[in-house]
Amino acid sequence: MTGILGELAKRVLIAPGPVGSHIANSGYNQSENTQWWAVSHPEAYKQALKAWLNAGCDFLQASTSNRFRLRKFGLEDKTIEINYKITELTKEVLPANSYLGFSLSASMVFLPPMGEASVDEVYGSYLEMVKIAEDIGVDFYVASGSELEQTGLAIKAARDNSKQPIFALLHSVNPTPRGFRTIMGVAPTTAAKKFQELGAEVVGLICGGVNYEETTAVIAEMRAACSKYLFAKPNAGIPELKNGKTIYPRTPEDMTKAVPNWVKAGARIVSGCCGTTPEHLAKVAAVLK
Amino acid sequence: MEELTRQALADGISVGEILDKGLIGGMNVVGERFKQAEMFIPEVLLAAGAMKAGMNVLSPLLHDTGYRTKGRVILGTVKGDIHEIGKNLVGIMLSGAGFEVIDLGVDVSPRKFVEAVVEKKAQMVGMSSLLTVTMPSLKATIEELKKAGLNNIKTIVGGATVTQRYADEIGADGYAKDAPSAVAKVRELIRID
Repeated sequence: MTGILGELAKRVLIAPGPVGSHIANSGYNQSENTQWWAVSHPEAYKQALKAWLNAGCDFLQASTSNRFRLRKFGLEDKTIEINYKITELTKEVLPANSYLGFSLSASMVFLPPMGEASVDEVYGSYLEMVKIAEDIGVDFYVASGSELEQTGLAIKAARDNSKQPIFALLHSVNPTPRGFRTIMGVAPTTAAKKFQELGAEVVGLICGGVNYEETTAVIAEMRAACSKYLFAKPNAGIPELKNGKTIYPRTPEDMTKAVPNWVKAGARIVSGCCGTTPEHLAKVAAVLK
Repeated sequence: MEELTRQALADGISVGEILDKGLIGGMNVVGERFKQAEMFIPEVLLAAGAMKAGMNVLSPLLHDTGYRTKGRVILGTVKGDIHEIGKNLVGIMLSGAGFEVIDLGVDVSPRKFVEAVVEKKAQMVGMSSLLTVTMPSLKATIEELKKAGLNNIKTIVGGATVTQRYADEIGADGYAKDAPSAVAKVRELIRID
């Protein structure tokens, strides 16, 4: 087996961390659309990507922005341009032996009956992204969302228009009185089963209100519910207020202690979302080698 | 829902009672269940839609009875943030509670908040921020209001990562962690006669 699945067959992989909080050090003032800022500051964006590579990440992901999401920022007319540019920039810094993932990130609109966007429109917003990706050439897709219907549309757009493997991540799992659930009410077990059914080769969690220990439990639940590779990408703990600033409390050392538990529970790709720095992943890389 | 509301009116139940016990009362139950993870966003949104439908029937009647707005509130999600469910729920419930709500939408700059306050002669600004990276925009907006000399304008903040402590630190007049609490807080903070 070749490609990213071939790599996964051999070993645990480390995925890059978040774009937004990382480019914050480069002048991004965090009140603009991340992707638009990135394409307007290509050198800063590429620096941020190189930091992940230097930390030991096994691949890069083009962090894209869905049409509906850009519409909310008044940037809809730049949808194609932004997503082409950000993918090309990512490809520019990608080493020859590495892999390029392409995000099919959440549209953030609701399907009926709660919302205004139709299934066709939302599917269309994912389809145009897949076309960009196929035109440039990517190694895999990463769909993510807090519920199953929309995320399913993203998976379908990739599955119907590409031969590349698809990762499907459940976004923002939280601990609740009734077990782990996203804000939309989806449990990790349900998502794992559904994503596998829809054709994802990798299933996992991203972001959300679960801490490092709870992440182990979520991975275990997903392991019991499906037979696909698992991907853990939680935040670096629950944010706290310190001296008027919001910080994510889990340190690189904390992460090196947590990751082996995720792997034992079944994780095959590890990373972190909000609050995760290259230092976190560099230390994890040292532990995994 | 519209039918049920009309039926209640036809049965002689007062507008105020339908509003308080029926619509707002119902949303409070939903809010509680949401907290207990017995209901999730999809259900909350459906309930809010139902409340809005009931409000459509009642609003004209509220005006008929010489009902005066309790105050004008500008709502918005701060610059850089496009999450709006919480804000939308607050808006619906504030309207139900008798406030005039001007919703500026998402990705709203401090300047835009200030302009709206002045233009609409509002008494209050409610700001939502879900992402930790956009929380500084809450502070920036409060400072912009001060700079514009709008010291009598009350501010209330909310959002999944916002806390009472953060609200106090940035000088907000109030904080609410969900829509029902927001209504209670707004009632406390502004009274016009």
